[in-house]
Amino acid sequence: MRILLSWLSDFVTCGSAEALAERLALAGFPVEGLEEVGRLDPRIRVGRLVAVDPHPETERLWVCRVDVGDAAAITVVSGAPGLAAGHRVPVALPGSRLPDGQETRVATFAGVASAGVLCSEAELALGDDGGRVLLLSPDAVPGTPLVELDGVADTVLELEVTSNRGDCLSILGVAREVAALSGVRLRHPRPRPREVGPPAAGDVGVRVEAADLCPHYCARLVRSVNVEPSPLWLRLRLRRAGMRPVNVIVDATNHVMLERGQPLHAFDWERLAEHRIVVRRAAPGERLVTLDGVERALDPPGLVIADARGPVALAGVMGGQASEVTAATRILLLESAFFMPSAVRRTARRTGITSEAAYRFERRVDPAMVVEALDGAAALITRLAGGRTAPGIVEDPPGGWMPELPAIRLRPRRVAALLGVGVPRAQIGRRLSALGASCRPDRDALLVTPPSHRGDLQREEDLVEEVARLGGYDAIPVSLPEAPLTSGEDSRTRVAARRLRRLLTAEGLTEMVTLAFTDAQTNRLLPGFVGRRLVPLALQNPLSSETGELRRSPISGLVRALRANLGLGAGFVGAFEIGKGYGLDAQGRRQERRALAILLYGTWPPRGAERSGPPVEFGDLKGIVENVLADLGVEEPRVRWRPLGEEALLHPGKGAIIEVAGTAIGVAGALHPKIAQTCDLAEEVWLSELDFEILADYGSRRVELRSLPRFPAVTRDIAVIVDEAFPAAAILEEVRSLADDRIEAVRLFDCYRGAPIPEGKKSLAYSIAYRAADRTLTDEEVSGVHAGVLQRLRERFPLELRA
Amino acid sequence: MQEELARLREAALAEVASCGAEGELEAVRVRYLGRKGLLTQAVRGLAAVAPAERPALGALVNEAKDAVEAAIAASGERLAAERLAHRLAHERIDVTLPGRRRPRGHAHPLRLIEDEIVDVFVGMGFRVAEGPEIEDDYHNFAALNFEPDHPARDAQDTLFVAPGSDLLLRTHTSPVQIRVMRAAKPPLRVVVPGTVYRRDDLDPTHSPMFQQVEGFMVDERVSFADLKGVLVHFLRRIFGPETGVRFRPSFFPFTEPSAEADIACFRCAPTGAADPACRICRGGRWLEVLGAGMIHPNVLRAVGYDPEKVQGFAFGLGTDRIAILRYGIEDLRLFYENDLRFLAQFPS
Repeated sequence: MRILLSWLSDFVTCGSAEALAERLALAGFPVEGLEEVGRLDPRIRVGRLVAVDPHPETERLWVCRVDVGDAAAITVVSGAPGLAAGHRVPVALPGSRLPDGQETRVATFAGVASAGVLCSEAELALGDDGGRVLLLSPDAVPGTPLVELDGVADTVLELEVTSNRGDCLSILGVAREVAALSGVRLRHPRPRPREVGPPAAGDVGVRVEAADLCPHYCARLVRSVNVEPSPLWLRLRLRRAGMRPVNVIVDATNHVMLERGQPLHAFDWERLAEHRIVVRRAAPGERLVTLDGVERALDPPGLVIADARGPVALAGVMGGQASEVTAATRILLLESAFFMPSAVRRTARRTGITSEAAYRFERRVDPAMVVEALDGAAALITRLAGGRTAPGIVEDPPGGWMPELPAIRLRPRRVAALLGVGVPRAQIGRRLSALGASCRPDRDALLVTPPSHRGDLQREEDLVEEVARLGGYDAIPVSLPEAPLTSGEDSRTRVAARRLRRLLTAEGLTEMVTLAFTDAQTNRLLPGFVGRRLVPLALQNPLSSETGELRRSPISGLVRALRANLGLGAGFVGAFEIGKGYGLDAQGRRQERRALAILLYGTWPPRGAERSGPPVEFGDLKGIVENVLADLGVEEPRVRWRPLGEEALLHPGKGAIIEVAGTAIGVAGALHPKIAQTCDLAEEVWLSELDFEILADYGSRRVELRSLPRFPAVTRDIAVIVDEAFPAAAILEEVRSLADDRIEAVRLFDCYRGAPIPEGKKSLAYSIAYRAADRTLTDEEVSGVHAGVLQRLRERFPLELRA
Repeated sequence: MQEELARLREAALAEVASCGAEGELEAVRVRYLGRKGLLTQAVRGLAAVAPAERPALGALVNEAKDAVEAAIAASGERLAAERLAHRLAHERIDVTLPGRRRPRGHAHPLRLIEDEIVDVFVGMGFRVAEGPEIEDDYHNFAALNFEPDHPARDAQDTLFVAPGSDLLLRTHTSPVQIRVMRAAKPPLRVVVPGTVYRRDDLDPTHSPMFQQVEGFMVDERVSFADLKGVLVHFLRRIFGPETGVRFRPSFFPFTEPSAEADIACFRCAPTGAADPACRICRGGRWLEVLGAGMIHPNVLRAVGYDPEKVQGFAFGLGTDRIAILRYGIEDLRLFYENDLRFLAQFPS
């Protein structure tokens, strides 16, 4: 809400703009801007055109003699049309600066020296019209600095008004608030038109057929209006309040709305069929061309204003084009009504129209303002457009309408309990009375009836807030709650996430937080792991098709971030995200499952004096995942890396399903080349996605210590030659499956290809540690066990033992 | 015999003295003192000597052996010292060569700040709760006292989830208040970090997805003054112990009375006047940081509590907003674009 201080001052005396802004901010109206406007250079003055003659040499130039208040008139050359002797115009004298910073100088036009410039409203930043000289009021005194004219210089406060305070969407409303806050008197004039001619009731009919949506509708008839542009002061007010001036009629109704909060509408009476107004629900199939030129199909239960033929306006939202006020309009029907907030909101949402009127109706207007605003508009129009207001208001229901105002019981001890500090009953009464509420004692409490403009005050708590607000929140003490000394507790998932974050950053990976949205194609291509069986969820009202679905895997976000970083010249991307995959399960239930997603790409950063580190490979990714699992207490024998072998997210030959004790907990491998190609990624993208919930479970387990060995171990090595396709882990698993408690550990320590190993084969070397818990193993015993191992391997696998 | 001993002793000492390396010294030791060494042989020669002379001669032999051994030891120490001195004088590495650093990872600033915020509340006895991001109208709006056709819903422009359901992406973390309160009885002290969504395009000050931390406390006598106390403590832990805090009235459907809290710009004006050139507050001094209030009686009723018996406060803050202020970031998009050059400036 843009508040002009000059306008506000019509209703209440307020001090400096800064002090006012501070006071309003602390009362719940944050000030988003404080702007000085119209501070024109005082050397721009009111001039009276004494004579206007054609330039002797050049066509379309005029030589004007202008009285600028000095002893002698000055000569000014202008090319603007429509100038005539007697006009009052703004004259920028030499040396003055226009709002755009341009300095006025004496200039010569084809031999005639011009001692000033006649300004348009655009040049003075007072309006949009740059084609003509601004014509000032005929009673403006020549020589007066323009900045001193009424309404030119002003200060605009931009207030944020919360949606419960519709009563402050007007100058009067804010003035009321200022008066209550600072204890000064509110000036509240209620202008009424002088009524002349035949009564309105003879020429206008009003019937409300939907009283539940429109409990009160009033109309006035104004005859013999001249529809012209508004005077400067009115145009300035509207423009600075954020509205576009149209003509004096529309501007006058808008002026009353901005000033008193009640939206009004003016119809061209002659264009209303049978001059009748019917307020009703729209019928199926009805259409209306609104003021913005859009033809709209009406929403049947929605509220419309109709004439004898059909709808002429969307009630409380926007008028229709056919009945709008034009330059030809002579007789007006002015509308002022109380439309139910929900009815207006519904129409506004259905049509997508946002209007100043709808904004106010949605936030509830003051039922007591309906007639006052109608009278004010008729009076203003009479004053500015020469209209003659017909006697009487035509309304339905006759005699008007006022909702029953609730009497709310307010207990001072409730005030004390909620605020944590007591406020004496008399003070409570004073504060609420300052807001216009009426208070009377009721045993230990107060019975409070809020004023009609405060529809937001419905409960005791609402009044408690008002009591606190008027006293200032600063006056409430700062205390700490008394509560039993119990310990706080972080959540299981957050504890696990923090642990994983520490681990993965120590592995050199950087955490990312990516948007949960993706496009349908990417969502199909990147099912991830936790969301692989979920049906993608689309948004009903996405911002764009690129953000049309909720991702099934955080990998889609990491891949997008990868591409962005490559575009910025990154050579290594090592990233992870603990995020969710979303979708519907087979039963159609919403699912959001947490995952740990990891991405590696490029070459490792140099370690020490080298140009770059080695290229990232599968082993790097696997090592990180293994470290994560090991830290969570899940060690190698329980973890199986099973070749993927199926096409999905990953390259079928370069990916694995990770299983722990037979349960799949995630996948790891290279991004499918088809997807990589779609994403313009040249090199291998190494990805892993693990089920976070399973990891979090591991993390919460207790550490179980093993006792340290007391006897020495003996190690024996084995080297075998196998086919290229032979999985190295098969031998590890076989040795472990022997379950001989003297075999302490087995690990692969070499994998070799090349001479003398034949083509298509590879050499694998393993080391086995033998140890007994209760004695030192003898050489013979170790040899015996080892021979058994070799025997078993020879039986089980097609391999050749190397010496 | 005596002369022979004296000669051996002199010869041995001379050889020790001439040794230039520890290896040579060992050879001398073997030649004289080894099992078949010359002095060792001399001891065996004592057998041929008259018994009466044996003690004296024996003493002489031992004396000679001791002398040679001492000389060898002394010489050995000297040579070792020389060798060490030589190493120290000649062995050099270039300590200015770059270290072989393992790559360093970084935590995301939003997570760092979230942890910091949560830790303050956990330290005050709050328990962390979480809830779903795909919510329904009841938890996100209706139970929180948003009337069906109230403009308060406009402030939270909602992303709806198909198909034709009342599912939506939660616009705030407040639905978790409802979930927790329906499942538990007071006294409650709960803090709720989480991701929320609004239908806003990504620009320097908006994001369709952002982070919030919600907190609430319900008991028999928790008051607005307590709300102020808890939040002042929290804000001073995050922004510094001297930070000025003020509360202003505001409006949220789910609290009454409602408030917004501002902090005095911690960079230029924690306690005094603001600097018009300040990058953070631009001279406005007060920075809005959170919304709060006493839980609305309609909300308490919706979860089955009796507002005449229990009351409490709730607050919500934007994690992104706190991070923006703390790190002096001017563009919200940095958090979600994940430019590694940006992320690399944060600790792990």
